[in-house]
Amino acid sequence: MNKYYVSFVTISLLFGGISYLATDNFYIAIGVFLLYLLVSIILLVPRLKKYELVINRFNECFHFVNAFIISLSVRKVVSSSIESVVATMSKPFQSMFTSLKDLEDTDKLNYLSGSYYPFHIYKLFLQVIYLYQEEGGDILKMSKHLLNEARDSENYAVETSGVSKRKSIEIAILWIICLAILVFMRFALKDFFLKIKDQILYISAICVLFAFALLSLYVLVIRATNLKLKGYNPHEKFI
Amino acid sequence: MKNSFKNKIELLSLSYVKEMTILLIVDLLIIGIGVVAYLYLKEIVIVIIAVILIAVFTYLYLYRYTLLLEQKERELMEELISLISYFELFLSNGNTVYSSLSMLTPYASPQMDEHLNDLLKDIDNDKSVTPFIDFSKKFKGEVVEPLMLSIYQMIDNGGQGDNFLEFDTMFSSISKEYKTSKIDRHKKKLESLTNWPLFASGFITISLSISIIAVIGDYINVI
Repeated sequence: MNKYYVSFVTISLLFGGISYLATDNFYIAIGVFLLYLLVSIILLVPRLKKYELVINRFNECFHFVNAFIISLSVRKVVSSSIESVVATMSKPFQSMFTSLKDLEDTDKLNYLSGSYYPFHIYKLFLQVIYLYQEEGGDILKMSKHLLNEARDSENYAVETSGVSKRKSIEIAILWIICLAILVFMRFALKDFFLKIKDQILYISAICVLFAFALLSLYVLVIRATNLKLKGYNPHEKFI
Repeated sequence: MKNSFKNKIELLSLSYVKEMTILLIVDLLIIGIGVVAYLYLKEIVIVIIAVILIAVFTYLYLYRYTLLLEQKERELMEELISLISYFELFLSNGNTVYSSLSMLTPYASPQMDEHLNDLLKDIDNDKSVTPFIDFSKKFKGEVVEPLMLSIYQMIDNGGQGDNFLEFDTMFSSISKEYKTSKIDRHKKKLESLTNWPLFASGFITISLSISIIAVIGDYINVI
């Protein structure tokens, strides 16, 4: 089972359990659990999976471009550079690339620029390679600005990903403290709890609180996975 | 006032009528639910909650156009910075200023593509600095005009030499600043979410206090 599904089922169970403790109402607890689970499965898990795929693909693209240019600067020939770079790539990439064996070298590189590496840096890389094939020259000098741009984009992806993880942990801890207050009040003020648990105001407040927490979770995932990599369109599918 | 508001919506390529209809439907929905809940529960607090919800929703819904417009302008500016770095790559690989500018169009968004095509057409008709100045006026940023002037100065020597170095130095610092601000904005957006659990804690405390005060009130009435 995917790690995201496990995490969100746990979160839904946790929130459902806390809502039960806070209201003593089984129906509210089931409602909270199902609502969290549905929102997670329909909206959040696909978004997180796509984010992970894009980040991995971008890292792979960055590695490919870098390794290819370095290899080309040494070997001076595109075909042998392709061979040496592919050998350093992941197994899924290698098997995908093997299926392109009937294509010309340039066509193989071109193929990747579609929905496999939709990033601008890859398209710019192709332009540099075409120019190198046509006119020759010093590939390292020709791709200096490209490599700078690729490094900046890679830094952006790494830094935003790190910030997203750190802030998500921070926000999760704050929510745990917030919900702990609710659980603590329920046991510490037991007599009062028995009196207020059926009040419409109290039940409405608890429902609003859990809806607000769900909204917070949703906004957190949307903002944490908001990647602005040039050329990448979040609405387009990856192969 | 109304016109500027309508202009904002149209600048975002949204339909004024559609947007106002959505606002009206949601407000009416809240009123409807509020009325039904009040008739059923006979609690004045329901009316207060409904009024607050309508006010908050309407404010947030209308304020979002200002935010969306700011975001659109910022994104266009960020895109320009990215495109200028591509322009620098094309230029450094021996292309002329004009051909480097025309090579940017496959990487541009529809709006930026329109601006670039306008610039290229204007350059065809007018060899002075005016097309570059006009282009820079389409962006909200003081850095665009000096950048465009620097690009214009490169035309005479085919994009190489001292002018290119000047442009490169100027652009490097601007680009670095924009890239740092992009990461900072991501961080700030997430940081603002740390306030949410604090609001929720306050909300729990207030709700519990009101509920407990109500129980104490009932005790006092009995006594």
